[in-house]
Amino acid sequence: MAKTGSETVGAAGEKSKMTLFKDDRAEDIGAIVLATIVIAIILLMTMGKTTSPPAPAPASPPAVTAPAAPVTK
Amino acid sequence: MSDTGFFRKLPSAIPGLALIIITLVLIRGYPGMDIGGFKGIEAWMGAQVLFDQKGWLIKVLHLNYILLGIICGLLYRNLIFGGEIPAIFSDGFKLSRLMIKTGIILLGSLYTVQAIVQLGAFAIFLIGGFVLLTIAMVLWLGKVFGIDRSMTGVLANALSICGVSAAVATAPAVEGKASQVAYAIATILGFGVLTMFISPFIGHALGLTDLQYGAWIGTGILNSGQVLAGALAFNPKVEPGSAVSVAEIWNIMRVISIPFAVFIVTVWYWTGKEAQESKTARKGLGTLLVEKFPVFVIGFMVVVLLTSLGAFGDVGLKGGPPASETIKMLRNWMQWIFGFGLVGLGGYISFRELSQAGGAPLKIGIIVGATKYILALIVVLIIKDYLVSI
Repeated sequence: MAKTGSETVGAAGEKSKMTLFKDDRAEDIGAIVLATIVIAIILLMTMGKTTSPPAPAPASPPAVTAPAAPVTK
Repeated sequence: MSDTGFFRKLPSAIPGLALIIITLVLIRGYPGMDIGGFKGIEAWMGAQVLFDQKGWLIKVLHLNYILLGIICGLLYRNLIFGGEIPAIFSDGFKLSRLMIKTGIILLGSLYTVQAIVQLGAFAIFLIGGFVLLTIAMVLWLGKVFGIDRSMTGVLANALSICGVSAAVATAPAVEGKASQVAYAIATILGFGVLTMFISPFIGHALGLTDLQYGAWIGTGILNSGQVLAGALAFNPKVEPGSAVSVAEIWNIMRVISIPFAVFIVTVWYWTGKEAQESKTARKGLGTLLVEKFPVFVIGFMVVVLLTSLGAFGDVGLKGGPPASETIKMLRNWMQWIFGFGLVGLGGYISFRELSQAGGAPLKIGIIVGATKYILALIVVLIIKDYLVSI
């Protein structure tokens, strides 16, 4: 059993690994680091802009930043 | 084979990264994009008139950037590159799971601790029930079809939790061979590709809300990436209460259960073996928790906590103040990060490899996968009035 991480279906080994990391655990930690960097950059970019301006006119495709749609049961 | 380390490999990922980013930009466009009137494939489709309806491709076929991204990845691998991602691009595609996990961590900004506790308690009950039911069903069918115990064990967790990760995590504990892991993965990915594409149509046809749809596919679709794709294909919005916010919290509950499910299947496997065959020491639950717990979930929980503490400003919950600039930007970036991850996911769907699935494992996979998929929908429709919204 030579599999070291999540591989594609074909075969075990480096070539078929689905990650550049050593294993799944290393990839998880990499994701945490990357998410931290993304959050830090966004916080820096939006520093001093914590309040929302009036909602922009909807664009096509619909803007993802629109206020939350009500969830009906 | 030597492992040269992530940072040394990173430069070789640039061509693949560039291909995925260019693909995504062509699909989604960017603010102000206008190349000879072309504003991105998604915008182009929205303007096309088919069957006397403007935007028919989007409104009826629900072809949003997520499905288009997966289809592009799929076409790259299976059509343009003849069945395998070329070496020059392959390292870039290997970053797709990193992006999906990063996006899921950032998705924590959609929730508050209170919502997680409310929704999570309910999700644990439902997910736990489905995990146990699926394991029991696979172990029983494995006996009925007379397949190898290792194969049964790998298949049980692949079908009950989140596919690829669970199959790989379980294999060493039940003496699974690489070929058995390959069979299990091919089975679940084949089934998952089908459900990933048909679920949005079923959801819209049944008039499911984001809450109902998210709960259904978070339980019924087998693979984490495919849950994400299925949710964003139904509703591409990333905001509290959207399909992806519900499906992912369901999925995270399922991912957390990996060590417990590995433990259950390991106990089953070694209990049925003769004592003299037990050369490998059976691992305890504590060891499995340390070894197999998906630690990116901790990152997700930290982001939830920071959001609850107001570190990113108002989150834009229903009835509350609008989302802060930070939250808006986070959600926009999340869409790009998920888009990247899902183009890469498409590039990992190989029709040639999926054709490896066959025989009794495939039959069990189809029976159990379909049962879980349909039963999850029925359960969600029955309990729809009790589902906790966020």
